[in-house]
Amino acid sequence: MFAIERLNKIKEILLKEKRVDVIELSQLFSVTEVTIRRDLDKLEKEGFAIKTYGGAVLNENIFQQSSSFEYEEKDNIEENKMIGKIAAEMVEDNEAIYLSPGRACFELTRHLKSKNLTVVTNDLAIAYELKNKPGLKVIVTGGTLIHSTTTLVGEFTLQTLNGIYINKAFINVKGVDFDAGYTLGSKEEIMIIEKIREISKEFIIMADYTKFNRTSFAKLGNLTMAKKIITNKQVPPEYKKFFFEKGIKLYTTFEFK
Amino acid sequence: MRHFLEMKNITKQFNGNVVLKNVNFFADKGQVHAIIGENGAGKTTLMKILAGLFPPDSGDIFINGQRVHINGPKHAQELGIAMIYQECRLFPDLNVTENIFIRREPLKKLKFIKIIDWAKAHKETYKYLDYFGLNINPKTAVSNLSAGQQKFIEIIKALSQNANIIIMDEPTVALTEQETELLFKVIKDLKKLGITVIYISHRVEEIKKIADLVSVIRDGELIVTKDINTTNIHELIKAMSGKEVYDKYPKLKVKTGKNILRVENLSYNDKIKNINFELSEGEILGITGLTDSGKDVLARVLFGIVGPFQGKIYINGKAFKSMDPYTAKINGLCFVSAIDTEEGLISNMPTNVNITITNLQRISTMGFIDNAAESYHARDMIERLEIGCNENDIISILSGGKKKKVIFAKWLFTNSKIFIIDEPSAGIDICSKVDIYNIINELVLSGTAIIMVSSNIEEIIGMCDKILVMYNGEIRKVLDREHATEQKILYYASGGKDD
Repeated sequence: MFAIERLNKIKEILLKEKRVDVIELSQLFSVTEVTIRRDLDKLEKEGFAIKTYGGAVLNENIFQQSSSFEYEEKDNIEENKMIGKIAAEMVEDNEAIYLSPGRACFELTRHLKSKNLTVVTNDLAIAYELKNKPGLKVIVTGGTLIHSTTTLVGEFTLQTLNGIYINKAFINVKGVDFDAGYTLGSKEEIMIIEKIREISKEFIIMADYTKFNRTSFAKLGNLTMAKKIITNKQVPPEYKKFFFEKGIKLYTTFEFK
Repeated sequence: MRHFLEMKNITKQFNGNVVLKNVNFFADKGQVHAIIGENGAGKTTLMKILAGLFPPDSGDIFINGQRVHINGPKHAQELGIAMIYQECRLFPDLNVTENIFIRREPLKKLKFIKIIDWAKAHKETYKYLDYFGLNINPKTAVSNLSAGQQKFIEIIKALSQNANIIIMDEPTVALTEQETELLFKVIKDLKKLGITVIYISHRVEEIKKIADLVSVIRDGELIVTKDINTTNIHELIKAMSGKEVYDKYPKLKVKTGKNILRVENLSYNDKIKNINFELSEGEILGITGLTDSGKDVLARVLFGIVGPFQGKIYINGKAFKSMDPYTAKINGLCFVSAIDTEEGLISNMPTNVNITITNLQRISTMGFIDNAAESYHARDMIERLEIGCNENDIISILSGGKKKKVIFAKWLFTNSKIFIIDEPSAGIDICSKVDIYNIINELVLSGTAIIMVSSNIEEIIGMCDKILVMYNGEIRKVLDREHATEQKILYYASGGKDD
């Protein structure tokens, strides 16, 4: 079998099964694992597949029309993608979730697989990103747009949040610091998140590792306010120790290929 | 009323850690007083103080109403205190009599010189052996005796030194059932002789058979002393495990896939008996139990480190009647060993060699190892796992946490699909612990199945979907995540049964 035939065959399998395994493929085509790995490298370069631990998965994004939204926050996209992926795993079928403005929540939307979800958000970009996802109910709060962002805040936003209940709230923060606690960019945003906290059963913080030992303008609360936090493996060790000893679940991302 | 032995307000610190806090303990003649508690609770430390291994920081010890300052093991021996440790303290190459009478052999005069009277010594030894109904030849070398028989020789040695307080630390570990029964008979005989026996164990079931009194030690404090007839196993377990368990483990619920491993009637040398379980992709299965419950043996049988076994192992539906590490590896299994064993790493070799050794094919061209590829992949793994070391660092200089990550790295390099992880967090720092749990998450997300063998009950409850509790080589109970509590696990791990 020629290499090109093998590649096409792998593509077929990927389309059908959504994922392939290096060991299985090498047995199937009677070639070495190294050869298969090279094939998967090629497919990744083509944008057809994304390599994962021990294999590859189909890159579903190639079938989705690319978003016309350029998300304004562009720091650490890779790190936030991984955070979003872990967060999406926490969402279960039939839940109502809240997604706060921020890159990690934006990335989370791409990994949502759960069925029959209700998503509440005050970020227009996140809502737009979800417009083509089947089986989702997206509720956008009203409110005042913060200039040059996609974030809605203010009295109207607070009003729409009255009388609803959320299973899991995912909160992007701008700063994580032992002294200052969790911080966000403005007092208006804090008011929304405080309201969300009242109506949510579970409150999950997301912050990429660059947000640690950093303080933003307004304080949301102490580091012990949430029982779960999702971040990256590079987070300073003293934080890993602190959260574990305080009985707070710290999720970090690792990627194996 | 004064007791024969009293230990009052005993406090002991090691490097600023309080290991015993104001402990009050007593025992009388002809009595078996059991001490139970989890690993590290302070049971053994309390008894080592009595045996003169180290002095208490504060507190008093009275024997027969007399206050004593025990200033060393020799002094303790003179006071009639003997301790029988978990590990054998006999000379393996000497025979039974020689061991019993070492350094105090009976002498006889032959004209002007004194020589050892072996006939007398053997006779004396035989008298003891006969008293306890033990069928052992006094002239046998100790190395030829079973673990149980060695325990009996240590007991006889203590008696021949006129001990009236005998401390036994986990004496039934490594003993067969018959030997355990025999030991209990010997202990009953000791009681008749008026000897005080202090019996350290964490097998609650066993204590019911042999003890008169039982004391529970938890976190360095003596929680309660009870008459064995007025208490029950549930009450004791509750006292042992009083502390609150925080749910601090970053568990991710993952949808499990197809069945990947099945074990059918697996037995090996009486150390594991009739084991059955199944494991699916993305599932974390916990195996827990006390020191010699068979959990470690089970893990090693699965990976083919020990064998041959009876029964069958199915990997991806393929049946195996025997196993060796090579076969296990090419079928997707791996064994992430504990760091305190020599199993996992080559200590005097650099990190890069240790990481890539499991898959040399991946770093070789035309049959030769490509050093650049080796270095590239090793650096990649070191970065991905946040190991924080240099690829050329020799393993022996790395911390426990880093070593554990290197062991993970080497198996990740082969893309194993079933990870058997032995004591995931023992001996490593908190940060590495948090990392290891998250590495496990990442693995199950990609469909890998995990078998976690651990004596850390909190960790088992925190991370596993299903928990097998082992006792005496058998699976005593299977608990799912929702129903597992520390008390339940301790109950079954100590030999408790469903009523």
